[in-house]
Formats: sequence, C-alpha cells, structure tokens
Amino acid sequence: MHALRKIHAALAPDALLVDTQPLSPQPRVVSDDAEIGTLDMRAWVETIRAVDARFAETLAAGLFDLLDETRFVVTESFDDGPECLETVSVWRDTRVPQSLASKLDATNAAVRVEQDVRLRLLHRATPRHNY
Amino acid sequence: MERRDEDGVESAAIAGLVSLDGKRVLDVGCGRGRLTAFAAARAASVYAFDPSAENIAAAHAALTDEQRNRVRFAVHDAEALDLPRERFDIALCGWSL
Repeated sequence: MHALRKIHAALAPDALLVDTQPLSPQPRVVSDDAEIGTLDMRAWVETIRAVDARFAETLAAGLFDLLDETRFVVTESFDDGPECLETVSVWRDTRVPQSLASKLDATNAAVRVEQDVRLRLLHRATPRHNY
Repeated sequence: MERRDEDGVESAAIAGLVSLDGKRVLDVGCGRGRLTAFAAARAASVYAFDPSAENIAAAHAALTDEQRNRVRFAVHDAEALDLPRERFDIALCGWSL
C-alpha cells in the first residue's frame, strides 16, 4: 500500500488533503536583486512526475477528488553565499552548477532561492472499490 | 541562518483555502517543521511524523511550549502510518510526498 492510500485510511470522511510541491526545474538564485544563476532541479521534477502519477492513480480509484490548484513563489533566504551553497548542496535531486557554486562561494551578501510551488487541495472521497 | 518562506506565502495560501481552526491535523513528512508551527497555532491537535529523527528534533525545538502541547511527534515514513483508532480532518503534505 503506498503512502497516499495510508493517508486516505487515516483521514475522516470528507477530510481534506493539502499538498504543496516545488516545481521549478531551475529555481533562480538571487543576490543584491540580481540573478547569479539557477539550481539544476530537473531530477527533482522527474520525482514530482512520479508523485503525480501516484496521485493520478488515487484520483482514478476514487480515493480523492481534486478541489483546487494554485501556484505561488516561495523564497528561501540565506545570510550569505557559502551558507546557501552548503544548504542547497544537500537538497534532494538538486545539482549546483559549478559556475553558480563559485559565485556563491564568493558572495558575502544575502542570497535567496526562489521556487515555484504548486498547492493542490483534495477531498477525501469514498473509493468505488476496496483496496 | 536559513529562513524558509519568511513572508509566509505558503501558509497564507493554505489558510486562504482551508481553515485549520479546531481541526485534527496530520502533518505528513513534517521535516524540520516547515508547516508544523502554522498547524499547531490553529489546530486542536497535530500528529507530525518524519522518517528522520534529526528533523523531528528540529521541528520539536521550533515550537513554543503552548504549541508543543498540541503536537505529537513520531519517527516513521508515510507507509508505516498506522493509527487505527484515529481519524484526521486535514492532512498537510508540505514538500513531502
């Protein structure tokens, strides 16, 4: 039983599920209001596609109904470039291009990473068949 | 210091769609508490879990005493979720599934 089915089982009838996921394949990295590069999160986007496929299965099985979907930008802020580099280097499915890594290593100013995020609101439904 | 979503864009977007007030909330893969304090400030109760004990410790430390009283933490992944006597009103999956 995959995670979404476990969550469905733990929810009351008519409960809601709020799912947020970062979607940017290349989130912008900004310092002093200027873009200094982008992260390479194309592998992460592939992971999200796999998650979406599992969501599609649960929607098809009647476990959840999609009520709403919206997008917005979430910013992660860092005191300086090295701190940003240290943090994003261990993000799952994220690669820091060498040119960006060099710039971050030499940046003493505050840095932010801007990510496009998708929010989906789902309603827990009663499945049409047992699982 | 890393500061996630300082402007509270994500929590505002959630609050604009669904009220957590007085609800029983399941915080799925809570990480270092990305949405846990937001939920604990509003919900009647929160069950927050994550496979990383280090993340759970950080999420716990980020709460006020009052918020902590409404949150139960556990270390496991979503596939090990097994609370047969409980039903939740809202599941929050913040960057976790």
